[in-house]
Amino acid sequence: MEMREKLGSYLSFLNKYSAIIALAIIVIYGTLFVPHFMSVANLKAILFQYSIIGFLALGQLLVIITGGIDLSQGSLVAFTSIVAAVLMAQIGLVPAVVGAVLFCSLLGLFSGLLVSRTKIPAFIVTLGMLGIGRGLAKFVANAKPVPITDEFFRSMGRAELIGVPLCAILWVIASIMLYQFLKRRRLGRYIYAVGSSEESARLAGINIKKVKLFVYTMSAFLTSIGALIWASRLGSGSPIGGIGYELESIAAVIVGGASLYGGTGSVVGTMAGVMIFGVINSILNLSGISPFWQGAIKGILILSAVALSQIQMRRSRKA
Amino acid sequence: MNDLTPILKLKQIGKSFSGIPVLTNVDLDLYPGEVHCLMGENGAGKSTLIKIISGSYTADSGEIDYLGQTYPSYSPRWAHRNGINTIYQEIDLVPHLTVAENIFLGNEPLTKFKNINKSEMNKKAEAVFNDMGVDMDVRVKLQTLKVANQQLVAIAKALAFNSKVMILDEPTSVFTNTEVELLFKLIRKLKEQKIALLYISHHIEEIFEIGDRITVLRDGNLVRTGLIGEFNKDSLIKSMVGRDVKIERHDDGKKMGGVILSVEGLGQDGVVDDISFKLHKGEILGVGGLVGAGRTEMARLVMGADRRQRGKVIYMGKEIQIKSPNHALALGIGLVPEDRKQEGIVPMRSVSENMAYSLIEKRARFGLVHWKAIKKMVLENFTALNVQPQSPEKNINLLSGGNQQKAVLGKMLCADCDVLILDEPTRGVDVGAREEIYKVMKDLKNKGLAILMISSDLIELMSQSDRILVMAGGRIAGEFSSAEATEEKILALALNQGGNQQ
Repeated sequence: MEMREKLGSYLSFLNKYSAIIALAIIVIYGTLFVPHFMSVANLKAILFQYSIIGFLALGQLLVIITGGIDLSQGSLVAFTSIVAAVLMAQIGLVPAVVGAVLFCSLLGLFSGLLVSRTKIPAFIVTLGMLGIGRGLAKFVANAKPVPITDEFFRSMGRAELIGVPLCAILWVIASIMLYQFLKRRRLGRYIYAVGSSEESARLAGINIKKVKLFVYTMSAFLTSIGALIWASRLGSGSPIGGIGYELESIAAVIVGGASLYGGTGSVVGTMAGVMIFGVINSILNLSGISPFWQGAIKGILILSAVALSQIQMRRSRKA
Repeated sequence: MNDLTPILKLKQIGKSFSGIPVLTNVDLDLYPGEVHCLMGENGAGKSTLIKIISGSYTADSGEIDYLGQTYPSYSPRWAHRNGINTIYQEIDLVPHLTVAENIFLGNEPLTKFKNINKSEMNKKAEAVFNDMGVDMDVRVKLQTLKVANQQLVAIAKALAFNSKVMILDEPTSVFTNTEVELLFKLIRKLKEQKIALLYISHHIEEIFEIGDRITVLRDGNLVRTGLIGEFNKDSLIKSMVGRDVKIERHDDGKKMGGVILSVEGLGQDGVVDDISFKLHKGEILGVGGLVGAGRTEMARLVMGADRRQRGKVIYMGKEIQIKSPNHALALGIGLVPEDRKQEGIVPMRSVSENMAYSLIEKRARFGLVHWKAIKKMVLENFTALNVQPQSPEKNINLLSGGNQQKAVLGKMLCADCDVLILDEPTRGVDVGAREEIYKVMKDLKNKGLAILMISSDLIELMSQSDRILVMAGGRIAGEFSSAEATEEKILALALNQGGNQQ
């Protein structure tokens, strides 16, 4: 019995910090065995590339804690980039950026309305939005990339602050804010309550609709920030960009310890999850492993993360 | 007590579900500082009454006076906010939040920046537990607590909301004896604080230990309300049963055959223990007991739906290790589950397809489903069972409960079982279909099948069974032949030994 308890607490410790431990192991492996991995240029490259997924994952985290899912993120990246590019040519930088964020958030709000007020499952609602976002992007752009000429905007995606990519700094700041929000604000706690037991939350007087509306809007909002960074680095808006990004953000959140059944998930875990995929991607590229393998390796990672949390859940249920 | 005015007064409450009355003109008073026990057998209407008080159900007729105001109904949220709290058996808390967060959910203390004031919240939560005299770490997640402790959190939550009326729905069913003592100490404290408690429990000893007054419900009617001193154990059971119905026993003089299934010392921690019985060919063995006595769990263990930790199952003279319900079926042991919607039928598919599921593997040819043979057999049973409407291709969702149940029974008939376990075979079934189900059971019995029938309906139990086992607290409390069984005897056994597992 005692052994079991020990094993249980050991497992729960492992589960809580599994993403960070895994990240550390992978980084150590990369440092020791992969040439050029631990170089300033390579680390910067990882941060530049993965802070985009990082923003998406923060939004995805909120949705997943409530027990939902947001499949529309990839399309919203394309949509936002197109809106920003088109508006920038016509009304200037600041209004274009504000407009793009606003339009994207509105699509999120729409998903949130459907999820919270109808019985349509989040999977279906956001699958629909996946089509709508991509369709709108193609329609607005006439299915062609829209170049961005604003030099300042183009430079932001590559900008560095004391040697650190600016976009990564912004991502960390956003993460800290979200961390505080989830820990200290009522709405932040209610997100967990809704995902853990919706009925109990309702009986406690929590406005479930408001919580759901908020997380889908927020997911689209954070996606639009990631999309702007992406567009800036690309130097254009693209109607075919961002395909599959939603799966990467979901994977990062899950590897970061969240459960698709809702109620759990953390910002720190999600950040580690994002970085795990960034680092693995980099190691595979540097080692010259075929990109075809990379999907499979990521898949194995996701499955092991979910298997670990399942074992943990079964244990806690037995106790 | 009587010089006070009641804090909550139910007047002539009536409620029916799909035309069947569940409560008829029930009155109930609750005084501050009393422990009022609500008693009645399964299906007497206790749960419905509680749900009306807590706002989950709206009464069809009658009114509720609360704190001098009259309400036809109110919402659960209103009740919760205004001091009427129910501590349900299934706990209404959020597993992933901490104890303190659960207590103040929706009502968190804030800092001046509108952040949640965690230290204040934890302090307040600790104060609530201190008042209760309970040692509790308010910072741990609720899901890490034992169920009994989760119950205490639910009570603490009610207290933090300034509860005036607290409904405890079988609070001790998951408690050990020491935990029960702790709860009683707490209840006495709550009484001093002038909280009115409505206490529901199947453990008669508890009622006499903690109660001030008793209200007895039977078949949705108020039988009697009185001070605890006006009752003793026997008179209480009598007023709970109190029916004067002549029970027609089916006794066709047919002798039962040899033992086909025998269970020895079956047990699983925290569920059932020490279950032994023998089931004969051509016998209907009834299993009575209260909800939660472990009857369904026992059946699941016999069937291999859950894995047993102890005991033997001997079937046709051989000890068998049943691995799964599928395996059991292949051996000839079939189960008609209690929860028809969840476990019995495959919704959205046709009646005949539902009936065929048990056959698909048995009647396969070259590894392919042999639909022709299956259809033939299904049709035979379909006609024999008189399933209405008489179109086997109809979507099973469109059938009445009784006819769905007949179809589930038909599924088992198709499987050529030698032993059938029926869990609450007529729950939610109308009278006509009920008689037909009884007839089918009788036919099967005459064919030499052995039937284990779990039932909460005492009359059904006594009229249909050859022998009756009574379960209580996960054990077999006793056995009667159908001739010696009476409602009082069965209920007394079921209630008496409802001791708590250590």
